[in-house]
Amino acid sequence: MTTTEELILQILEGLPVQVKRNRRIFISVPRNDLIKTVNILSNELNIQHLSTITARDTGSELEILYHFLLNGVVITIRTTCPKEDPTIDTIVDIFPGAVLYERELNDILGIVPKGHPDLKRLILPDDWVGGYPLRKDWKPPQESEE
Amino acid sequence: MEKVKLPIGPQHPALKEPENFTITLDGERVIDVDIRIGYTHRGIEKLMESRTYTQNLYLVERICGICSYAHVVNFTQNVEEVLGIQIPKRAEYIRTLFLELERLHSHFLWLGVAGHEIGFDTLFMYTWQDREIVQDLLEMISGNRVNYAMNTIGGVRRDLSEEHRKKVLEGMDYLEKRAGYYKEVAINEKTILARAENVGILKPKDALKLSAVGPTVRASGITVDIRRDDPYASYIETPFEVITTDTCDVLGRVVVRVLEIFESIKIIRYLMEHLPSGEIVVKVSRKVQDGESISHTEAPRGEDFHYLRSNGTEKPERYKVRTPTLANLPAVVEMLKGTYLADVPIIVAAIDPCMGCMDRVLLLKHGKEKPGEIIDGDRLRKYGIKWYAERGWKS
Amino acid sequence: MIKGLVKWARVKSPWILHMNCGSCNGCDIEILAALIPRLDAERFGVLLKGSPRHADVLVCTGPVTKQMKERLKRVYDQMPEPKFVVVVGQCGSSGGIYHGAYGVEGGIDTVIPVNAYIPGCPPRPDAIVDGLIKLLASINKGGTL
Repeated sequence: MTTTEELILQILEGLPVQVKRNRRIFISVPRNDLIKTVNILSNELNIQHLSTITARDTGSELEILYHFLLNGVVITIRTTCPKEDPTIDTIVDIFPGAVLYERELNDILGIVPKGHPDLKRLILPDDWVGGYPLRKDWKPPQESEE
Repeated sequence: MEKVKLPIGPQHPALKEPENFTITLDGERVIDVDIRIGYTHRGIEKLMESRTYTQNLYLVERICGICSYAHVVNFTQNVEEVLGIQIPKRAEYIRTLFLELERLHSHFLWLGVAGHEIGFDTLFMYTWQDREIVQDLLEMISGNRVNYAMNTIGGVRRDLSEEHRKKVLEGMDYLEKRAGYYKEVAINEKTILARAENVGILKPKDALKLSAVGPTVRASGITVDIRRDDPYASYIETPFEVITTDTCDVLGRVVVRVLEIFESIKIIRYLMEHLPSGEIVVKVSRKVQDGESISHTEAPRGEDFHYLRSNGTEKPERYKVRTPTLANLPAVVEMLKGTYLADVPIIVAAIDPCMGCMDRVLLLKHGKEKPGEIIDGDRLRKYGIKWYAERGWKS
Repeated sequence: MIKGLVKWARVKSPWILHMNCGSCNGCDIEILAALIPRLDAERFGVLLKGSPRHADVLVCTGPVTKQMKERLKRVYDQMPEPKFVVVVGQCGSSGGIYHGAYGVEGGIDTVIPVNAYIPGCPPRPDAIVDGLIKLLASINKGGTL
């Protein structure tokens, strides 16, 4: 374990942390604790790099993973939101680099980042009416007659 | 001065559809930039869920035709980690060789493209000529110039012969000489200096705040390189320097890439001189147990990040890819603010954008009342060249 | 007589418009590589142009993504007759490896008529030049392939 990892685990003591292997740390939190946890990473560990945000449809709910990077250690915050209320707090105020990743979540899974300054389509066409492609129950829209 | 909005979109002037960039101008100065991408959005992540891991090898490679190998290394590393297997050392060396050959071809390619953007077409011709040496080496070993199909889960599919090893070393000698020439050009050539020095400034604090990656941030003095920070393949063994400069401008990004060419050559020489013998692949099961894995590599453009969630079947449950160009887009917005319109092409080019996403046509918006005027990237490039020529700098 | 002159001019130096319709760039790079000194398509009089209004030949790559479909149609419509379309690469020909992905339409010919296909993923620069020469030869013979 590197000194960075030791430091990280020290700071995160008390939180539900899982060390998958060297340089891979996961923290699972309920969505109400997302901002608090992100702030710990930012303020106490001085993390600035957000690699990306992954999200997936687990079937019963939507899981969102925030991947941060500090000296080669990937720290992932795992949280979930229900499909009936697919919202999450934006982290753009703490990590401006999240601005495009949150737009992508919205496009492909319908997860709405509350408070995002500029939520518009990122990768799907503006006239897309086909729903959220990365949802498990998604079906391709009917092809219109050309 | 009257504020003007310039939408920059793909392809043709007469189209009113969503654009890549909308630039708000005040006179000739850029005030704000708005990004819209998606022109190469194919739906690969979803497609991967309906293909087996073996089939996905070929799909992942084609996320991008320039950093294709970085993607496939991430993919195979992810699957191998969940399977809990270690690939043979010789396979690791061969993967590292291809990763660095890809960096070489990509950096030479970029130098040519950057030259073209500022009207220095001779540079384009020379660098792409040199790049052909790398393409020949890639083809010699893998059978293809682009999309090498070298990896399989558990190792690599083709081996290096002694003949290949020697040819790679010869290629490195030649390329080192050529890189020396480009280093001189980058530092001394007036055309490049005029267009690149103090252009597209990205302060270190902004580079970090916006989570930018690759040579773009290394030119702002940030020492981050996944090969060193979170070593993968053979990088823990190969000696190399992480190249940074602190000029924070386009010139810095040119210098970083040219110097990285030397480092890649150094790594490749080490690999070829210390290539271990042995197997190149281990057998793996088709089904991948429940699990998840993260792999990231330092692609030529920066951190390429992949996440895998597996579910016990032959197909992935979820696969996520974040390419380096996407990570740099917020930084591009920051760099473009306050610059001249004439500098837009080279600043955008300096993050080494994956051309597909950035196939550039610019829509120039002139305030709310006037309709947008769309100009294509080629015209903007010529505008930039002419603008500088009028101020005394000829290519 | 004018027709013959124009045909001659067109065959001697076709003006090419290149359009990426969602490709991974592999083919696009090889198209550019065909122009460098080693192969130099300009020897055959091939010139890359920016605007559809001056183009004779539209060289397309990529499975047509939903975002690019309308653009492709419009660029094609903007080109003056007679016009020719060449598809470079597997995904432009049939959707290739992306076949079935939600973001793609399929091959270029699902949107506009195509005169020539140059297969490969990507095809080598020499194959691309070879395909273009074959197209020129067929134009010389009298029009469509």
